[in-house]
Amino acid sequence: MKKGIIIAAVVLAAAALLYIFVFSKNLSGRIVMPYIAHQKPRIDPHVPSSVPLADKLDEVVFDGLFNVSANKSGIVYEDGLGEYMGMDKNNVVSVRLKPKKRWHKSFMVTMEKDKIAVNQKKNIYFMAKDLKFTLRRIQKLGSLSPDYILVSQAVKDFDFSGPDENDEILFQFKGDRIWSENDVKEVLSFKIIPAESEMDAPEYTVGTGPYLKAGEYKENIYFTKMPEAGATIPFVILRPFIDNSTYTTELKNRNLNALLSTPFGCISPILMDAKAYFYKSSIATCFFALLYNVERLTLEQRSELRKLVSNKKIVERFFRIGTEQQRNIANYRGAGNNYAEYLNYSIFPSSSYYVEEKIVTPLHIAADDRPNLSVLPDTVVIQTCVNYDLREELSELIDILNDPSVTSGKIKALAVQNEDLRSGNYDAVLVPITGYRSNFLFDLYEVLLREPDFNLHRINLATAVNPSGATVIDDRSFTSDKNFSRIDLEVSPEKENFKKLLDYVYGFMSTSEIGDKQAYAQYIDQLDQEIALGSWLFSLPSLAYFSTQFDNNTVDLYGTASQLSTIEKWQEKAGK
Amino acid sequence: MKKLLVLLMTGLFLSGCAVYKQLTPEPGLSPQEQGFLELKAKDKNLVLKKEKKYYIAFPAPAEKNFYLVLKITDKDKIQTSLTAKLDKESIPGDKIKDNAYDPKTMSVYPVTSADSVYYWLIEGVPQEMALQLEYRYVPQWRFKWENRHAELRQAFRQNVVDHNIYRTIGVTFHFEGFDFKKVTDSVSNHLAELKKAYAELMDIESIFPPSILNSKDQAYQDFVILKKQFEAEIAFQGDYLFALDFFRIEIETRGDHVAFMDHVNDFLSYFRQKDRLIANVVQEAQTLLTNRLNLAVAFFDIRLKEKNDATPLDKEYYRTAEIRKTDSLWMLAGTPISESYSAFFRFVTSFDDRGTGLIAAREETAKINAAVVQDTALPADDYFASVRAKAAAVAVPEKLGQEFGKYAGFICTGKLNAAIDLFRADVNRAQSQYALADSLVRQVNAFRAQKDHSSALGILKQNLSLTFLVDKYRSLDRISVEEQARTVRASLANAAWGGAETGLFKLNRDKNFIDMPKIAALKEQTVSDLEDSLYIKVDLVTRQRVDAFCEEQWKTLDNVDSLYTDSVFLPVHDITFSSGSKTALVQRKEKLVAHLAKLKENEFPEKAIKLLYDEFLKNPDDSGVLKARAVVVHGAHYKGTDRDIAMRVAECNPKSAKLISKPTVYRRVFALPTTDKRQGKNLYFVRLNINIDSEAKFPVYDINIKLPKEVAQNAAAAQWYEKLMMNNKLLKNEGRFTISAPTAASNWECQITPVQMVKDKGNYLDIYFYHNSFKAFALSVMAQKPIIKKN
Repeated sequence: MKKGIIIAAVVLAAAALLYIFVFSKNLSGRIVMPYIAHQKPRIDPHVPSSVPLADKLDEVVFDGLFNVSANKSGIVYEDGLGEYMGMDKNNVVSVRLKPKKRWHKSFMVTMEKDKIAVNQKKNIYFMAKDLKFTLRRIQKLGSLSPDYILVSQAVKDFDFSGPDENDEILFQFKGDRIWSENDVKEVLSFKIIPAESEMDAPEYTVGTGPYLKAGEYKENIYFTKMPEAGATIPFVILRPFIDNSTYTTELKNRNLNALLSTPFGCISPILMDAKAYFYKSSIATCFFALLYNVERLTLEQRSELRKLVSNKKIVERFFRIGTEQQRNIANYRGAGNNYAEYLNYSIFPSSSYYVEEKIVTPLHIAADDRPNLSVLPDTVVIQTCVNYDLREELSELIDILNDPSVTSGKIKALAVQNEDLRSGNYDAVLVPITGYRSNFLFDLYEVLLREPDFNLHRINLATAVNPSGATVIDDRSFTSDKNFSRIDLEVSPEKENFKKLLDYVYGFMSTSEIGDKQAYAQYIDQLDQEIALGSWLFSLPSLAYFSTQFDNNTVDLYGTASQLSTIEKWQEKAGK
Repeated sequence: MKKLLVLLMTGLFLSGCAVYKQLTPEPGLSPQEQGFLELKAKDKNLVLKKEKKYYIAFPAPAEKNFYLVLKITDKDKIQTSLTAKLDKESIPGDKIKDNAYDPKTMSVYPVTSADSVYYWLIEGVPQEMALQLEYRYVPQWRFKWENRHAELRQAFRQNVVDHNIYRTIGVTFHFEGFDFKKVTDSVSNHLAELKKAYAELMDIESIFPPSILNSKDQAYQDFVILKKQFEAEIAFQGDYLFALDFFRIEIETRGDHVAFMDHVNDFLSYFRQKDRLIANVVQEAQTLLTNRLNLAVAFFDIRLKEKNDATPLDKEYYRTAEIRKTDSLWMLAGTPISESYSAFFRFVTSFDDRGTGLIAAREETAKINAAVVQDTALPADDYFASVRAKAAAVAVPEKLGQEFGKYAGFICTGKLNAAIDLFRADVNRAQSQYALADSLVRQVNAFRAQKDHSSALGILKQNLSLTFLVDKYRSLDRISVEEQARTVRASLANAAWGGAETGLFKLNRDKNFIDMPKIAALKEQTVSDLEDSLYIKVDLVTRQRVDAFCEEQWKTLDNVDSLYTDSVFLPVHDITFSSGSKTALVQRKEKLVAHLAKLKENEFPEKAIKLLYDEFLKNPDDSGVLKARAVVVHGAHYKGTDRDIAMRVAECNPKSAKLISKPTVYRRVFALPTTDKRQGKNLYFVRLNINIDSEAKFPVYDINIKLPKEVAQNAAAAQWYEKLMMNNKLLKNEGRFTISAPTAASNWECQITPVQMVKDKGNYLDIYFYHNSFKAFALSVMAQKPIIKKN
């Protein structure tokens, strides 16, 4: 029996190998990327998503008047739905709309299993009203949308005049800057959605971008390229997986050919074959943080806990530095294993502009500044949820935090169900902050106003209009069950500081002034150093793997640009 | 003979086609004056056939004014007429009027020697009949006299009047109860009839042939006698009526002296023709006239006695015009004037003449006086001599003296004499005033000629009673003020400040004016204006001196400070005059000094700064540093508030911050050496004040500085600046903070970014750099807001 079983197993393995090597998947003509099965990317091109892939898909589905792309030299601006005609001496920008651009709904896409057929329906062209609607939506979203910040610094009224008989529209830009063509295109690079869209839809799928969504089959999400235009590679397919730990294997097994993030952000030992894979690193977009429960921990306790949690030790354990299993990393600047650069000492990650440019001066706790463990609870309970993305990393971090050699045995980290987080039965919560931007548009709402729910991405931002007519943040934005830190302005003894914090956060997020951003960043960082909101741990390196099915030279990732900003230019290698 | 030949030829010519057939009597017709001659054809009557037309050609008489008289049997059975013309025996000319006294049997046609032949036409012959005709050529006067003399004699006899009344007037006949109307009407009617008949005689006489005059022709002799009778009676009746009219008036106006006087012209006419009247009639008229005139004296004396004023006699009331004619009446009447009437007549005419003369003299004097008053021109020296002569030429009537007898005592005489006395006194007073005026005018004019109006006015002021004189010189008040003002102005124009002040003092104290209250305002205003002018002039000249100084000295680049201690900034004259109080004087002087201070501390530095700054901007490489420094020194003395001036000074003062208040706008600033090495390396400095309105609470800007190539060209090898300070903090090219090196590619532009500003306050960016030169470097600086980018 045993022998039979062994033979059967061998036969099965042989069959599997045969399947792999003989009937290997043909991914030609497709870009296949993974997603967490229970975290379908819902695309909203104007607000950040908790699913990083959703933000990246903005570039796949939508166009702006101008699109930000990248080449070997860096960021480039390309015409999208508009053509830059010039700017007059009064800062009036003239843009000619491209009236032949069609919305995806101009086509009927049918799927029979995974076979996709695209047929022309009645052409529905992009029009000025679509742009007007989009601008109105961005204006309404306000500080929730990075596009609001971009546009508001240039176009005060979020409006334009025209179009005239040449389809030219005019934007009145502010006069406080000599606007370069690239400046204008940057400001007008927000993605445009149809005027018929709902103002507050769960997701937006109709765009004019290089790929249009075809549909789903067996939870695979299919995008097909726009006929007669758009991308080189015909299809983009998103494949569902339970967790991200299998991504590299799936890539190796040719179930995927593009992996935008690897587990632990490290170089994968199984993907070392340079003939089969190549990787490209970019600036970090995810960091881990312990957000302290201010309802359960006093200021003193939080301060001491912050001393207790050494991100350096955690990183060393996380990447197994100095061990045979060391997880090697490569950052976008080309340096290898520069783990220290990913250590964060501020709510602003070290890779962010605010730290890199020394706008803030993060608190570095001296090695000899030992925590007073006596003020801490006997056990500091840290919770997280490992049912969503970054499951592998979070599990590893739970182990590390529970390691007495790391946290002196004072911490009890555990994974809980997402629903349990709402009750706030933790002293701190381990949260991955994904999709953050290292530039000016670093999102503090994501850290401090996100409702404690790993499944949903909801920012608890409430605003009001003060007697002067200015929009201000409402105190209700800090409600204990609406943020991981359990901050509540009604009951907290630290109400004054938290109120200050809330104002600073809103000031930071709502301003389009660099100086204000910098100042509020300083205030927030300084305040955080005083009130110890959490341990900011470290950022995860951003490393993307690609099958050499693709021509390395056509896949450009640069700096803070979206990884998929050049997807329409990707090409397959000849003979693949 | 010739006439016969003509008649024959005419008959022959017309016989062929004539309407009228000529009847030719034998013997032929004679035009001589004689009795009636029967017209026959060889002793037989001419025969007229039924309905035939005939004519007989009668020769014209030898003289004019003849009648052709035709006595015709059966004249009433035929139609006849006479014409002087009958063309082709068919077409008769105008018919000659028949003047027959008995037209049934006779025709009387006037004929004259002017025509050659007359055609007697016969028409309407009812049946054949014999023409029984006698003819006669007779002068018209004779024919008329023969027919009219009996009636004319009768007319004379019937219209002769009684001559007795006329011949006995004043002798035995007097007109009391006489019916003037009846007699006058009767005589007038007779006279008219006489004249009518006499006219007929004159008519006959007018056609007398010359040959009849003085002839023995009986008819003529009878005519002459009758004519003389007519003429004598007509003359008498005319005289008779003429006399009756005089006496009728006298009778009708008895008791009414005024009415009597109203007929004075009739009386004059009567007596002018007194020669046509017989003596008794004239004498009676003279008697009546004398009586009536003497009675009129008494009547008018009463009226004169009642008159109680000096006015001339009323013409209607006193019938002065008529009374004046009685003088001639007396003379024409030829009777000696009565003494009483003579006295009356003299008084009436004298009173009337002198009263009228007084009025005329008054009017003339008034006219002279009025002319003097109305003549507003300043009088010449001889003006009043002329006036005096005119006034003296006015005839003042003599008074009515005792020579007027009782009339001298009449009230009106007294009144008139008093009026004459009064008027004479006025005339004498005016004469003496004009004499005085004559003398004064010469003195006044002498002063005027010397432009010494004040002295002239002084004389006039002592004779204010001579209003007619003084009034002429009222304009002198103004002229005096103006002349004195002119003198002061002339002094001012010549910068004779002392003279101007003396004049001002004199004018201010001058009281020699005719109408001081009236001229006071002008004088005060003039003094005030001149005083102002003095101050303004002193101020102006001082200013001009300063202007000239400025014009010369603004270019001064060395030792600029010393310019401000120059005496040019003191007044050109120390004014002592003031129309106001001492305090006012002091205040005005202080004001002037203050104004000079303003010139020194405001206008001069302002001018120098403007010009130097313009020069500096025009060519900063031409002593630019020295000019800029001079501007700064002037600026230190400048106490004005002109922001442009302050701006210019600030632009030239490297230590003054150059404001940058607008984003994106490049602003030129000058970096100037703070050290003073004309040869070698100097430290340059420029300070910027960046204060731009921003919506940001913590504004941040990019600062772009375009540098001169000579400053920036080595920036790649060595830092171009010594140091950059922002709000006294050193800016370093590290971290997020970038100070880009200027390159040729960037057009030598250096960018400092991001530069944090303090909102709503000055943000001072100090730029220091060394350069081996001594000049002004123009930098161009711009600030703009950096933007946030998504990627």
